[in-house]
Amino acid sequence: MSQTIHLTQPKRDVQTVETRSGLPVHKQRPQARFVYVVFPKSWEYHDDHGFIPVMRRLVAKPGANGVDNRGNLNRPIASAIQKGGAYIDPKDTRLGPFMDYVQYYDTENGGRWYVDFCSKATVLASGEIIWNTRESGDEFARFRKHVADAGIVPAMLPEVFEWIIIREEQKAQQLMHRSDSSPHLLAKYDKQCERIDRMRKTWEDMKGTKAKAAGKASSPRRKKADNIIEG
Amino acid sequence: MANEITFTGLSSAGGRVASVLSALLFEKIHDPTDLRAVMTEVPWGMAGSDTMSVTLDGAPGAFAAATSETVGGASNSAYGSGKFDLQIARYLRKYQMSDLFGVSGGPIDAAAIVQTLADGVGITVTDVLTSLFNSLSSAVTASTVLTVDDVYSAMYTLNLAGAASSAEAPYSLVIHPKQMNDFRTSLRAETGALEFVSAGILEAKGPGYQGNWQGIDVWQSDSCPTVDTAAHYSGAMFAKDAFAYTMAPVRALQGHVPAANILIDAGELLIEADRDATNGLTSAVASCFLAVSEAQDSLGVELKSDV
Repeated sequence: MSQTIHLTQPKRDVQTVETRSGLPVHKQRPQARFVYVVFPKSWEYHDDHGFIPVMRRLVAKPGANGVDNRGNLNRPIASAIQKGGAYIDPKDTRLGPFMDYVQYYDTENGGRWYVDFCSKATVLASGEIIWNTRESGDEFARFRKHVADAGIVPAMLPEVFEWIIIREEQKAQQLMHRSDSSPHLLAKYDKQCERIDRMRKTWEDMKGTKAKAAGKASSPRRKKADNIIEG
Repeated sequence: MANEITFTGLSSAGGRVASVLSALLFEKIHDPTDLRAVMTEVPWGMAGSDTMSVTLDGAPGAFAAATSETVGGASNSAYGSGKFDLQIARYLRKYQMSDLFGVSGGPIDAAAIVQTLADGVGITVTDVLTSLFNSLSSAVTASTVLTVDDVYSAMYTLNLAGAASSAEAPYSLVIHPKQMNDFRTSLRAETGALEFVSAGILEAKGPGYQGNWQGIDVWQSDSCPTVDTAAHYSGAMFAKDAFAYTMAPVRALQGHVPAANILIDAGELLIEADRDATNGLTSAVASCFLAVSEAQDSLGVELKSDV
C-alpha cells in the first residue's frame, strides 16, 4: 500500500541555476606550469627575513625556450643551470612544508591556472580576479628564506653582497644629488641610508653565524706572483 | 480617439520589432600588441626535426703579447661559440558555427570570424615572448611602482653587459599598461630634458608601440604576466638579438589538408574548415607553429614593479 511522503528539499536544476567554480579566463589568460631557479646574483634584501633569493620562473609554455608540445621543461632547466642557476625541484624533500610549491586552480573552462602554493584569489561577479598579494607575499618570502636556509641554493657570495650594496649606495647618491632641486627627496635619502645600514648589519650577523659554524677552518692562501714588476 | 497606429501597438501586434542589428561592426576592446618586430626572426628550415639549433658565433678577442722573442708561442684560446634552440609547437584556436547561424545572417558572418582568428597570431607570439621575461637572469625590481630610475637602472645593466643600442636597433622596453602609467607619472616629476616622444608623431611601428624615450622604443602589452604571487608585473628591457622567433610555414601541409577546406593560407597561418554535415556545424580551425627563445640572456633585463 502506498504511503504519504513529504518533499521538503527540491533538487537544483543545473540548467537554470548557474554555479560558478574556477577562475574565469575570458579577460585574463591563465598561467602555465612553471618551476623556479635562482641565479647567483638573484638576491635581495627583505626587511623581515634579511637576504633572500629572488625566484626566477621557467614557464612550461610550448614553443618557449625549447619547451616541447607536452610542456617538458628539461631543456630550459638545462639552459638555466648552464647559466649558473640553481634549479629548485618541487619534489625536493628539503623543501619541507613547501614541497610541491607549484599548484593550480581550476579554470571555468576546465583548464588549469598554475600559481604559487600561497596564491589566493577573489573572483568578482564581473569576472575580475583580485589576487591577495599582501598575505601570500609574506608566505612567499618565508618560502624563499627556507630555500636559502635549507641549502637548496648556494649561499649568497660576499661579492654579490658588495654588488648589491654598491647599487643601493648609488641609489642614495642619486637621491642626494637630486635633492638640490627637490628637497622632499632628502627624507627618501635618509630612509635609503638607514636601509643600507640594516643591510650591512644583517650581512655582518650572517657572517658571524657562518664563522661560528665553520669553527677554526683556515682560509685558503693566495698564490704569490713571482715578480710583478719584471715578470 | 482610438485605433492609432503606434510603435508600442505594432511591437506587440506585429509590424515593429524591439531592436534591429546595425550593419556596423564594432571591435571589442582588446590589446592587439604584436611584438614580432622587437625580436630577430630566424627562417624555419625543415630538415627532419621540430627543433632548430641556432649558433652564436664566438666573439673576437684581443691578442696576447708574446712573452719571449724565441720561445713560448701561445696557448690555444677557447673559441667560445654558443647555441640556442627554437623548438616549434602548434598553437591553435577554433570557432564552430552552426548552419542556423549562417542562414540567419547578420554583421558577424563566417568571414568576420575567420578574420578574428587571423588577428590572433600576433597576440599568441606576444604571449609566448612575455612569458620568458621572468626567466632572464638579470632583473631590476622597483621598490614600489615603476619609475624613471628603474628604467635607467635597466639601461645601465644592459650597457654594462655590452648590449649595443643604435638608431636602427634601439633598446626595446616592453611593459604592462599599469607599468606604463607609473612610468609616465614618474616622468612628470622629472626635471630637465627627458622628452617622451609619443607614437603619434613617430613612424608607426605596429600595435602596442607607445613611443620613444632616451632612444628606447617603448611598448606596452597586457600579456606581461604577474609574478611573485601576482605581486609584481613582469616587463623587460632588451637589445636586438636578445630574443629570437621562428614560425614554420604551413604550406608544407598542402598535401595533408584538402585544398577545398583551406580558408586562409597566409604562409605562417593556416585556417581550414571542418564540416560536420550531420549536425549542421562548420568549424574554422586556425593553426600556426611557432617558437620563441632567449638568444642571448645578457642582452635582456627584467623590470618588475608592483601591480
